Amino acid sequence: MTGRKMARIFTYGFMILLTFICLIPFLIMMVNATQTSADLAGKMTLFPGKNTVTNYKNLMELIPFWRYVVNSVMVTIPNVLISAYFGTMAAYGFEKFTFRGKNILFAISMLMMVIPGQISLIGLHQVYKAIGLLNTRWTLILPGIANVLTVYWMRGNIYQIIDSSILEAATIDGCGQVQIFHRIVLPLCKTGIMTISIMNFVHVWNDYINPVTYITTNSKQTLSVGIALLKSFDRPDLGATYMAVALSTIVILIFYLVFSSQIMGGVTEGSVKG
Amino acid sequence: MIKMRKGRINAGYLFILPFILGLVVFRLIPFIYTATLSFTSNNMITGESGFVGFANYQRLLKDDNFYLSLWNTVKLWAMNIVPRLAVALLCAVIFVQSDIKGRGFFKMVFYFPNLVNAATVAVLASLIMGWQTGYLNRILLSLGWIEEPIYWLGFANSAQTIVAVLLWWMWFGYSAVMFATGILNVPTEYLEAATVDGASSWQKFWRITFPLIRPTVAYVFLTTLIGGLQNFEIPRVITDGLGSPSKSLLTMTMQMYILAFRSMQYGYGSAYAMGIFVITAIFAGMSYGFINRKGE
Repeated sequence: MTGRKMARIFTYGFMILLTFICLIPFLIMMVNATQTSADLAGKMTLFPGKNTVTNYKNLMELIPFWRYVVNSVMVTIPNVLISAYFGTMAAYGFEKFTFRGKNILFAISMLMMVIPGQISLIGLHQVYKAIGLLNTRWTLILPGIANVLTVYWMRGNIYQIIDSSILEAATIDGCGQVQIFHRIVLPLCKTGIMTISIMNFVHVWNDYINPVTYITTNSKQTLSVGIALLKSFDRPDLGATYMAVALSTIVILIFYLVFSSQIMGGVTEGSVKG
Repeated sequence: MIKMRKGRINAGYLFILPFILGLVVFRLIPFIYTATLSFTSNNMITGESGFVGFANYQRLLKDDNFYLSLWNTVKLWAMNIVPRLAVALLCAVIFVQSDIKGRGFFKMVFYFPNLVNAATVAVLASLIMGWQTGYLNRILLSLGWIEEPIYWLGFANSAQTIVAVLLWWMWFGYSAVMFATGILNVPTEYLEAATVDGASSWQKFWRITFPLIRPTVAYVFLTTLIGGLQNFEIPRVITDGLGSPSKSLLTMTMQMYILAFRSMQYGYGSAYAMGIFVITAIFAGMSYGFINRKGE
């Protein structure tokens, strides 16, 4: 069975090659985050150096790195929470109630998902300016209320999980509609909410075009825009820039390791629905 | 379905109300407002404003930058989509073979570049692919393979290739995981029956698996197309924000952003945005029609 053996060698070789391609930039990043800027500018650096602490200190003087992280957290968490709450609420309304105009409203909502947000960038900028929200966190938090993907996702989830007979029983027992939503729907949909929230988290955390457009004060910036500012300096500090990239990657890596099952589950479920 | 007693407001409306309001405020009004602005000469620097009819659109159709940015955007997309789908399909086929060890590990590794934000990726890429102090040049110089550092990001072709490679690197794993799930949903009976009939792996893939995962492939293709036409972060961060060298990395969204938020031409910038919208709709419609026709 040499043909089979050859196929196995090719398969593993291909997988290992791709693994190498995926990881090599991160390895370079980790090694170079420990080098002095002078070495980085003039030598071939292959092994870890001894300049980690200095690079870190220089980075902290160049940009308020941890403040950017805090800014990102302060924007991402509220956005994800309101998206989960109001998105599930709307999904519940669409899935379990009959009312006039329901289907057309749902269809229009879905259509909004297809129109890329960038196209309305100027219009939303003007709206924020008019209501005085420009250069505040709210510009990045509030659109979470209109997360169409969450509604689409949670509608499917509610359809699968929540049997209408439970809701009818609760109504007979005298539960109000709001109570039913809070006491029955939200707890039963916990897993689905968790998955879509993790997906939303990654999306909002990595967002670049919205913060760069609506936030004008550097100290209020999120991490993704803040890190790009390092490139705008006349004489970039190479060691510190590698350090910034490494820290930014490590933050998301920790998140990935903690939530990998939800993230992978989210991608695969998305493909089934798609 | 819950039937409501007559005379009471249907609770369904109340549940969807916050979302619908949000949609109106954050999606619908901004879109309509952008469309309205596209018929004005609004300019924050000159202070101009007022209705100008289709003047912005006439200017758009004569704007060399519009065609250039469209070409660049499509080119960057086209350069990475073919290798992306090819490698992703190959990975997916390997993932679903039951005897491959470390499947979960490979999936996690291939998907990871997608989670790192594009700005970080672009900063890292410009460190590695930089000119005098770039890591790749340092390696090549030390090995004696080159005499002078190569200005990778200084030439149109190599700069575009670098961006396309980065997009491929960030997205092939995502597509692979999507395809793998699609293939897992293919009923195994079909494949077993084909094996009994003496079909080769190659035949089984193209005759059975691929037709059945066509919807997933179509979905990935369509979303990458719509996403690809909005390409912004990597070209913006990796260059000076203006699409250098010689505007080879100037994408449509970048030029719209420059018009609106650098030159403060809200009117013309909005017309540009509407141009992107129309082009996105045409491309999405075309590929949707193509996929449906081929699927029959």
